[in-house]
Amino acid sequence: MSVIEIKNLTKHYGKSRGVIDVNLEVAEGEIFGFIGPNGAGKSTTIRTLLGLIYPTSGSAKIFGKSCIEQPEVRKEVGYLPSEVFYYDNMRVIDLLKYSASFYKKDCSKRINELAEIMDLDLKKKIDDLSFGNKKKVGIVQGLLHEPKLIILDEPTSGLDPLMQHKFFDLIEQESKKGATVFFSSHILSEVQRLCSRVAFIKDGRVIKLEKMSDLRENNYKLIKVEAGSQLDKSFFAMPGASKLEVKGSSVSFLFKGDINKVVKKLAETSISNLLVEEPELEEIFMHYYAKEG
Amino acid sequence: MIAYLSYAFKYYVRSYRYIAPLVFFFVAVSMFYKDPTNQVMSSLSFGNFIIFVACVWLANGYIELEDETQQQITILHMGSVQEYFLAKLGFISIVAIAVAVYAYFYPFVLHVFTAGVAPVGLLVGFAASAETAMLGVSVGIFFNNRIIAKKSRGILLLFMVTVLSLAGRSIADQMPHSLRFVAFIFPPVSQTVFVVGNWWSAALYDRVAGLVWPIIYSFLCLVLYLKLSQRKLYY
Repeated sequence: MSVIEIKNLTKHYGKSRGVIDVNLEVAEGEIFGFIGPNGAGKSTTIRTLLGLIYPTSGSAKIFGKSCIEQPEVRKEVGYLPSEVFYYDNMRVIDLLKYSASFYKKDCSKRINELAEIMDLDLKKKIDDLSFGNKKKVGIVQGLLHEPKLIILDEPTSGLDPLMQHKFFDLIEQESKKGATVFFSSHILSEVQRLCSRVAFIKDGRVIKLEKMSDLRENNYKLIKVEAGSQLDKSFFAMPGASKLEVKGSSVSFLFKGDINKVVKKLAETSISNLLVEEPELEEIFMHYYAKEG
Repeated sequence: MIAYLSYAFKYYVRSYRYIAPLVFFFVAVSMFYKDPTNQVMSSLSFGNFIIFVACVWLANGYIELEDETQQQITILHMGSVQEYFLAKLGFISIVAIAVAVYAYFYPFVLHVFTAGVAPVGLLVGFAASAETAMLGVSVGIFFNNRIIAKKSRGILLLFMVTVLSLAGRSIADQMPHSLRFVAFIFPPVSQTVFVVGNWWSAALYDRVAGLVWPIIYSFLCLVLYLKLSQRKLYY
């Protein structure tokens, strides 16, 4: 059964583009990645799923129910917005109790569990919290009612690496318990860490929907090499290498394929430093999809 | 709904957005009733001007108080956009009615009136106060940046509509008879004030226009607000 069904979804804000002809299906229990640069249409898609905006055309369904016409389905959704702004003078526990009061079950045990996992002090005033800690409040608020569908919009911004790790573990646990996760981000690595499938959205259109295993095989790496002496550009001209740039004794290029080939090639020369990085999302879009799309 | 109302109260109290309108309200009421008078109905009727302005101000300051992100989460918790906006209207209506009750009972409690008035007059005075408070809410909630994107334009329009509401009957009286219907377009505050002040001599038509039309007008405004807010939810 598909938990999320988006069909031919188009949304225009007056003359501005929101999303165009988006089609997506997310299966029950799946962790689905939704990736794209800022302004690509991720939040518009999410807001339509939450029934907060009306589509210009097409439809969005959650658990087979229309997000607009059967809004009661929202109660099954846990949502973590990308930006969290709460009333500053309120204590964390007051805000969470307020959220819990809308559900016909006792969420206090769950609040304490989540607060412990996320290392969140419930007695503090929201005013006294850092951005990262406010994000933790958002995470607890989004998950306290044990929703069947969890929608995360840029969930890790503001969280330190240790907390990001705990958060990913938490989401994996929720998924194992049967929750479906819709994970929106502009950071490929965090989507790769969790998701089984990923949709790429750019300029309002879903340009690629791929299994994560396929994406890993086809993924580009940004390789930077520093050597003690001047490097020859032709040395790195190997199959899979692109966007080769030489600046004195430094070389950078994008590589797609078996990384062992690069390592073997580099073993033939003397280098002082080697960096293998994930390219920026824009670079992936420009070099991966522009060439192959 | 109860959870939201309790939260809205805490949120509002800590926002301090009510301070300026309430200072205006309390100062205006105490100044207005500082001297004893035997003109009960006219005093109650003019008190409605104060109630209306205070309620417009209070409603406008409250209606978009909550941050957009928290609004979205509250809507998800409630499961209904309509219920969310109804709860907001419910909260500000309670505040407005409290303002009306204060303004109505203030002169009685402080023995400002030196003459008595028939029970019907008391009922009419109270109904008019409550209706004027709700008219204030109906006007105040409209001119927010969800419905009128440019804030400065919204404030200017709010100011203009408030002035026209207060002066509507006088403006209509200056117009040719065929154009007097224009008075019905603006919130009928001046009509209510006129009717309460002249209750014993007012024609049935004026009584209906002063006491029934505000109820219909407020109801239509609130329904329109609910429709517009849902349609313009998050652009």
